[in-house]
Amino acid sequence: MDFSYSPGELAFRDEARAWIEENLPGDWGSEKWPIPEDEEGQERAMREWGRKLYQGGWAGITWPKEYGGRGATPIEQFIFQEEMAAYKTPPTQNLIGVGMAGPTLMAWGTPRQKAAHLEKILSGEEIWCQAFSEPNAGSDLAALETTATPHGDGYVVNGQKIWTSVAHRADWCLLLTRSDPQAPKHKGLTYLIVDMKSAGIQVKPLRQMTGDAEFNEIFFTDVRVPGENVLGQEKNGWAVAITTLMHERVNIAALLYARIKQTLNDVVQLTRRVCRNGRPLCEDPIVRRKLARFYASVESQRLNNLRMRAHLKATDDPGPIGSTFKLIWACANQELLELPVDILGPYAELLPGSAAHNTDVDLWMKHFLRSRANSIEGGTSEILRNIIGERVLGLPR
Amino acid sequence: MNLEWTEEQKILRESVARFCRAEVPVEAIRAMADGAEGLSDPLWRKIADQAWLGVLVPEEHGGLGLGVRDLAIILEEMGRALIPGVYFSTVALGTPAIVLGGSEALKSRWLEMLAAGEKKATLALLEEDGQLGAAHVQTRATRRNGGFVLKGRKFFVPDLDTADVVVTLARAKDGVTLFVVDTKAKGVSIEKNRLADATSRSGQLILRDVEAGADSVVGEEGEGWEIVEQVLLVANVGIAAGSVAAAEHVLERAVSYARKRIQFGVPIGTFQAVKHPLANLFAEIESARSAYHYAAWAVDAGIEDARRAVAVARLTCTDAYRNATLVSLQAHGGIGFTWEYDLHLHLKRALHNQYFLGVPSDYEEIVACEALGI
Repeated sequence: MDFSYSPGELAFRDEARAWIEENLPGDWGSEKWPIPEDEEGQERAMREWGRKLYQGGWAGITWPKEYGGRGATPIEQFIFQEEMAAYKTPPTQNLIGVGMAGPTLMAWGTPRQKAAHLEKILSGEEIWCQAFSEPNAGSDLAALETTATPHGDGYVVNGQKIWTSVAHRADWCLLLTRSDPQAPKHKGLTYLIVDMKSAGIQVKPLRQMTGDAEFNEIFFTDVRVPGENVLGQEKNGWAVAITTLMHERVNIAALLYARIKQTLNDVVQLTRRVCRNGRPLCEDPIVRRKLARFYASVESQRLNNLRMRAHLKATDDPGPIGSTFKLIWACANQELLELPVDILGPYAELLPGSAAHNTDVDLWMKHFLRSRANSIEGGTSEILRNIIGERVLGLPR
Repeated sequence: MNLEWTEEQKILRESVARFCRAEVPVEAIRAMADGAEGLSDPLWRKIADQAWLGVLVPEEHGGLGLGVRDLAIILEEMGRALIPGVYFSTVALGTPAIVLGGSEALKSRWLEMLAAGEKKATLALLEEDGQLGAAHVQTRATRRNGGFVLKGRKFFVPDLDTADVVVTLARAKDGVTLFVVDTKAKGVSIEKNRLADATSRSGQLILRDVEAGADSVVGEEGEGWEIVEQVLLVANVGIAAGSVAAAEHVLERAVSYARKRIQFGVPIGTFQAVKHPLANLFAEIESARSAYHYAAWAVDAGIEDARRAVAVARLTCTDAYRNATLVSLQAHGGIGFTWEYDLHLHLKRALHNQYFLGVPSDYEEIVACEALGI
């Protein structure tokens, strides 16, 4: 039981730190939330940063060297993420490509598929999205209805996907379809990789309650997909999808921790600025107790990350703790983001354009609203509790 | 980074677990809870024979010279089995005070006897206001004839009735100071408390002009609180360890009950209203375990932020234990509410752990100051 970093891990951290210092774009790292206001500015910044990461050899930290990755351990991946967060670097654009599409291709792809895509995913030339959820298949994913009908040596895809992040920028898509409507629901699925420029694909942004449009709907109308784009085998889609979701779990854990840690720092700063009865709120005993509890939760998430990663490194499996991460984070983030709006009170409601409005206020309301999706996106908290209850604790279904 | 226990630690855990299963079934716990002395003498001798009383005592003083992580493993298994606190008081309170703060003379005088189980020790920390902190120490230590005279009342002293020596905080001219007080000394008397947690014992130590020689001072005059802070690091890792393991045990009991209890023709564990609170509990306990592992390492490694790491571990582990008993009770339904069923023993121990050696707000304040800088 030794939480200190090994000499190798320390050398890795120093190398990462030195590289980030040298390559961090000048505008970043200020006190502001580090995302440009406008959509185009965001995309440009993220693409540029992605290219730099690739050139520096930091795009695929845990990817094996044979696929152009750094071959680093899951612990080192966490170290890198912590350093990125400490320097408030821009977010990475191709999270789905590098974190989910790549590992799924490595596990199930043909040599040809790997050769066609892996390098381009790392370089950021191919942005990927993941189209699993449908209007009638949310928590019950295996009930999905988008069909892939065999036709010639390929398929014709028809249907609708929803909640697809970055689809509007994506070049390629991980698509889970039903190719055999007669088979039992988990057994009739086929996993395809689809070129987003294919004829018959329409992407519509989905405006969410924050006012932003992070997600999309994708409509597939008679989209031709060649047979060589099956990932894994036909009707083996469920197993391939599980691989994608396993990698999602590990990859987002470090990112989610980095974000909630930053949010807590920002909330603490807010309680220093806002005064009640002439005293900063951070001196109020109830606020102090709450903040201390949030710190305990965030710190536990850091340590859960390390325990999960140590387990992953030793056994190639994240272990039971891996199933808890997103559930814990969602509860904690929602609870944490209630505090700033409660503190700001009537100011929290002001929209841009109001006389007394300022950007600080705007961000907190937006973050509060956005956090309500945390217990829904990427597996609802109810589904995650079922998974823990049934697969980890062994309770009956 | 290597987050596995060592092979030796795994063996230690297995032997403590085996010992607890064989020697301390819950019937024995209940008998001790109802009895006068808290932990029976034969059991104390058997624990001493295992050398576990000397876990933190350096080898040159007859101990095992092991670390806080090893102590934590023993306390995990003892917490799971609900073993009363006498072991804890001697090994995690009295002994570390002397190991961490005592002069060579003091160590030579006490440690061998403590490691062998010939003497039992404890720590007198709180006073009538029940609050943690040097400012709350009112007991006086007045210099007289090259030594001191102690006068005051110490409250909630754990396992006081069976202790031979009490490491006691008192205020001297140069500040709060630690003394080793013999419970048989002239002027010492004790009052026993009856606690809701029948497996724990505490009492008031009444000092009426008790003479304490200069050689009974632990560390230097005025250093008492500093030493106590070090002792609290060890003790709170111990509380965290015992709490988290007991929480796991209580969760296991609830899961096993939910699998076999049939209502409406199915095991109640099929219902999400039962399943989901148990899933939440698993997540909470795993987080608490992470915090405790880190704290145990941090104390052994002597890293700078050990104090806040220990505060986080103590808060999260005692919370997890308390929640585990409450959720488990609800999952069990009526049977869990009975005196015959063991769950209430854990519930009361969980509460005891939360209010023992300070309360949650004391540790939240440490986190607010040291981790958040507010």
